[in-house]
Amino acid sequence: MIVGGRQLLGDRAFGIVLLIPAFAIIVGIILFPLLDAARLSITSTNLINIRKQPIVGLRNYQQILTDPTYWQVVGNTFFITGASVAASVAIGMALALALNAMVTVRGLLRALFIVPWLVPGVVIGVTWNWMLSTETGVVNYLIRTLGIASENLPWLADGTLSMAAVNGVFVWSSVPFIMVTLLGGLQAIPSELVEAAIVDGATFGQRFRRVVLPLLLPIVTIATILRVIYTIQNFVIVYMLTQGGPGYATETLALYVYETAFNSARLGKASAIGVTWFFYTLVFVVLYLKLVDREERRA
Amino acid sequence: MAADPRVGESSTAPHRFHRFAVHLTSAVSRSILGAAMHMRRLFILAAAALLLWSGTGLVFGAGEQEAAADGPVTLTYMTRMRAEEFGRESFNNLAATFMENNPTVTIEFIDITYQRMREQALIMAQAGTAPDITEPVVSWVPQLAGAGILEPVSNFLSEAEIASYVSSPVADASYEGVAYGVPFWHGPILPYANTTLQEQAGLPPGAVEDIHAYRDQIAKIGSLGTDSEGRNIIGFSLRNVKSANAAFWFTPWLWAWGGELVDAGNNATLDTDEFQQALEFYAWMTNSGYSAKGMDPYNTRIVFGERRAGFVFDGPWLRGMLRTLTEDPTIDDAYQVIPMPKGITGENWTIANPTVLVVFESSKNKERAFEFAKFASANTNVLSGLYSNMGLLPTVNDMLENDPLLQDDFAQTFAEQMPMSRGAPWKDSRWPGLQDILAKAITEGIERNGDFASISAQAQREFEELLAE
Repeated sequence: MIVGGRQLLGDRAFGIVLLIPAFAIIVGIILFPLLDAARLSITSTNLINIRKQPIVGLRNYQQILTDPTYWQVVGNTFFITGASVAASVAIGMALALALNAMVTVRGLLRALFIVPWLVPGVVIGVTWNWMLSTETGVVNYLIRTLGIASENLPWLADGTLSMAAVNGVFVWSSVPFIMVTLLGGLQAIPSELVEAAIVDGATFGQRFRRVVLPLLLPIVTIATILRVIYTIQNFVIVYMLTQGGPGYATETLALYVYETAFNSARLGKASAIGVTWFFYTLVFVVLYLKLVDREERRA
Repeated sequence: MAADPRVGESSTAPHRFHRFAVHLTSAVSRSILGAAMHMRRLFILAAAALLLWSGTGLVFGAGEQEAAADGPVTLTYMTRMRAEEFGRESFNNLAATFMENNPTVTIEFIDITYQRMREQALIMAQAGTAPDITEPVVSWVPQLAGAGILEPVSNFLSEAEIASYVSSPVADASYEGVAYGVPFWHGPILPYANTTLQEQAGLPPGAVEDIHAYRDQIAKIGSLGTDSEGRNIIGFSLRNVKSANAAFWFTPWLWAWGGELVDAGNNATLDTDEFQQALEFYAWMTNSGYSAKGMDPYNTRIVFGERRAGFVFDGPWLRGMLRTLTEDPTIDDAYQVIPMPKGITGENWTIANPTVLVVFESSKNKERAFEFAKFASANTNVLSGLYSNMGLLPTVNDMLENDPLLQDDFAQTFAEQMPMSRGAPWKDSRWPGLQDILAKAITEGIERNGDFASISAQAQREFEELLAE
C-alpha cells in the first residue's frame, strides 16, 4: 500500500488484511466455541456460578465413560442414525428410480415429495407430536377407524413404539433429500449405457446392480454421509417428540448434552459429552471430505 | 487437443450476446479490481474512521444509557402468557393500561414458551442480554437467584407493600433469606372433577375424601368405557409424558403417599417405600387404562375439555384455557374444583406453583421495572381482567378477601387451599436437574410396570450424584 509516496503494505500483506474479517468470524464463531468447549470439559464449571471454573483434569471424561447411561445414549444415537438413514436411502432410492421413469409427471411429483424437506425441524416435531398423540392424535384415529388396532397405541410413551416413531419421523424428513440427490445422479447417467444393457438382455435387477448402482454409488455414499451427520447432530425432532423418553429409551447425545448443561447445570460435564459427540461426528465429516476429494480427483 | 468443432461455428444472436456479456463482465471486474488497488489508501482511512467512530460510540453510547433513566424508557418483559392464545389479549391490555398511566414507559414483550423460559432467562442473563422483567414460577427462582442475576425485591418494595400480598409466594420466591419475586398470580394445583362422570359411575359428585377413595373413583370412572362418540373415558387425565413439568406435578402425589424428595438434612430420599408407592400409583393408573399413556399438559386439558376424563390436575388458569380450547359457553358447568384428597398421613398438601415477577440485576431501569411489577400484581382492574379472562388468581390479600368477583366457589376453593400448598418441592438451584431424574423414574415406572425398587434406587443414586456437585 502506498501512502505519501512510500509503500506501507505489499500486495501480500494487503491481502492478509482483507482476509482478517473472514478469519475473525471463523475463529469467533467456530474455532473459539470448539476450543472453549474442550477447555470447559476439563473443569467442573456450573452454569449457576459460571465464573468459577476449577480444573478437574479428565474427571468428567472418566465419569461419563464409566456411566452406563452415557453408553445407552450413544447406542440410541447410533441406532436412530443408522436405522433412519438406511431406511431413508432405501426409500429415497426407490422413489428416485420411480420418478426417473415417470417422465411426464416427474416435475410435479418431485415438487410434492420435496415438501417435508422444506419444513423446519420444530414444525416437524410439533406436528408429529400432535399426530402421534395417544388420545388425541390423528394416527390412532386412523388406525382405529381402519380396524388395524382396537386400542390407541402409545406411540410416544412406549419404549419400542417411541423408538419406531422417532425413526419414522426422521425417515419422513430425510427421504426428500435423498430422493432429490439420487434423482439428479440418475439423470446424469448416460442413457446409452442403460440402453446397451437392455440390448444385451439385462433384466431390471441386473441393470440396476451392474450399471446404475456402480455409477450412482459415489452420490449415494455422499448423500448418506451428509444425512448421517445431520441425524447424529439433530436435537429438535427428538426433543419435540419424546424428550428422550420414556426413561432414556430415545435419549440422544444432543438431548443428553442439553439436559446436563441446562437442567443439571453441569456445564463441564456437558462439555465433555459434547467433545466425545464432536469426535463421533468428525469421523463422518472426515469420511465425507475424503470422498468428495476422491470424486474431485476422479473428475 | 482438437478444438471443439462447435466453438465459433454459430454466429446466432444468443452466442454473440454471451460473448458480449463475458467481455463486459471481465472489463467491469478489471475496472473494479484496478480501482480497489488504487484506493487502498481510501480503504485504510475508512477502516480507521470506522474504528474511531465505533470507539466513540461505545463511550457516548454508555452515557446515553445512563441518561435515559430519567427520560422515556423501554422495559423488556419476557412473558410466557402472551405466547398462549388465551393470554395474548389480556397481556396486551395490561401493557396498554400501564403505558397509559406511565406515558414515558414503553413495554416491549418477548414472547416465550413455558418450556424454554427458565433456561433462556439464565442464558440471556449470562450473555448480558437479559430482559428487564420476567415471570418465573417460584420453583425456578432458586436457580435464577443462585446465579446472581435477580434484583432483591426489598430494595424497591416497602415492607407494607410486601405484606399486602399473600405471604407464601413471597416466601417461596426467596432464596437464602432474600425475596426476589413480586407475587403475580397464585396457583394451588388442585383436582378438577367432572361431576357428570362421577354420577355416571355411581359416585357422589365433588370432593373426594382421601387418596384411597380417589384411587377407587379413578378406577370406577376409568371403567365406564367409551363416550357417545366412541372415545375412551379416562379416570384421571394425568401428565405422564417425560417432562420437567410432569415431574414437578408428581410431587403432590408423592406427598399423598407419605414420601418426600429430601429429608430435613437435605439428603435424597427417593429410595423409599413411599416413593415406590407413588411410582406404582402412576404406573397402575396408566397401565390399567384409567389414564392414557404419553399425555402432556396440552393433551390432558383437551381430554378433560372433551368431557371424557373424571379428573384433571391443574391450576386456576385451566378455566380460561378450557373456555378458549372448547369454545363451549357451558364448559364452566361441566366440572368442580375440589381440594386435594387427604394423603396417608391425613394431610392434603399440594404444590402452590405461584408465578412471580422478577427484575434482572442487569436492568438499567430497575425502579421503573418494579413499578411495572407492582402495577401488574396489585392493580384491581388489571387483576380482575386477568382473573375473568384467564383464571389467573390474584395474590393480593385484600382482593382475595373482599373483591366480589373472587367470592365464587371456584376462586374460594383455591384460596382455601393456599395454606396447604408448598411453593417449590425442593428449594434448590439444582431443582431442574432433579426434575429430569424424576421424569425419567416416572416414565420408566410406567414402561416397566414394576421393578419400582430398582427404579427408585437408580433415582436415588442419580440424585446423590447431583447433590454431590
